[in-house]
Amino acid sequence: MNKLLPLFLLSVILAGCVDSEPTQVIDRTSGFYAISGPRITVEDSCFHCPVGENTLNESVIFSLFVQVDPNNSQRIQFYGLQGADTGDMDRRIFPKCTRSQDCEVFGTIQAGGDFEIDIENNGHRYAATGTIARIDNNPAGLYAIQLQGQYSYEDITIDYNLQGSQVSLRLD
Amino acid sequence: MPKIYILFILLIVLIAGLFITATSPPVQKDPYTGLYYVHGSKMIEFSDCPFIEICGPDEGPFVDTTYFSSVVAVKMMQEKADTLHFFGLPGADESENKFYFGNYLRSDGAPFLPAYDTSVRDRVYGSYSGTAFKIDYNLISNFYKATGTINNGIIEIQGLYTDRAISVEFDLMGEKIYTVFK
Repeated sequence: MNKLLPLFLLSVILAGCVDSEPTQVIDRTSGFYAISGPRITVEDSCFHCPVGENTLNESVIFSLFVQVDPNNSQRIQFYGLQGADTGDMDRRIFPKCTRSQDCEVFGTIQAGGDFEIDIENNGHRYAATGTIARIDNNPAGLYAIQLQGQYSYEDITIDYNLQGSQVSLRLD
Repeated sequence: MPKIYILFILLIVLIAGLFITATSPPVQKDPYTGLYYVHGSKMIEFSDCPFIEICGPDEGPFVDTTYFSSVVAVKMMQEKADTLHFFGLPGADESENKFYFGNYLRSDGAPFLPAYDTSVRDRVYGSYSGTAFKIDYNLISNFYKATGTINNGIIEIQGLYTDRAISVEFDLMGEKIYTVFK
């Protein structure tokens, strides 16, 4: 019995060296998306609107990085979402932000891919609903995103009706 | 030597190996690859002023400057020496189509980002040497050129998009987002 004691102790130490983190579900929705769609701005004092009107019908194309929290599958973060953390300085919820960590955009996402964002900062508000779903018959298993978002502040309201696809770009 | 001591020595070697592996620093990525949060100015200058009531022939071109931010991905290409790949670069593959004075709609970049995986030739590449990079992105009727640096996680970009009607100068800087790839 005494001869087996060192072996037993070493087995205990060895067991402690093994990574004991639970296995995580593979998250394929995180990644880069190419986004585009109309942007409709309604503003009382609209400088570039047609004479007598207060609405601008414009469009945007931009990149978006989406990451589902690896420790909470219902928490999602967006990097590069126009009207929220990026875009014109005076038309987003964090007007003076110049560092990403000072203007983080989180939302909630359900198992089916439906997500919501609702952020308010000093009277600036951005609210959105959307869906991230796998593209049918896509051999690479990429996802598509749809997002209806609205930025509002005082007399300005900007509606985004965006859609896009995940791209194959990876940085890791 | 009793078998129990041989087993003991083997376990010591195994534990030492695991310890060394666990405490080794992670493999360093290249200094360029990453996601960057950039901010700065965008100055649009019209070649010919289309707004006769705003700028007459003697008043020079109409200039519109805005301040904005964006997110740009940069990747050092393993298969192409001295080449960086950019995704979401304002003025190149990222753009907006804006109205000016009610009836003049202009884009400030190429609309090719959504075709990223279907039209590979429209992706944005640049060459780099040391900390400096250069982009020369020619399109059919317009082009985007830029110079910049990436140094210690800080990126600076001076870009120029032009077509027949407008030129757009981008002056951007920003830092790498380190919290993304945990």
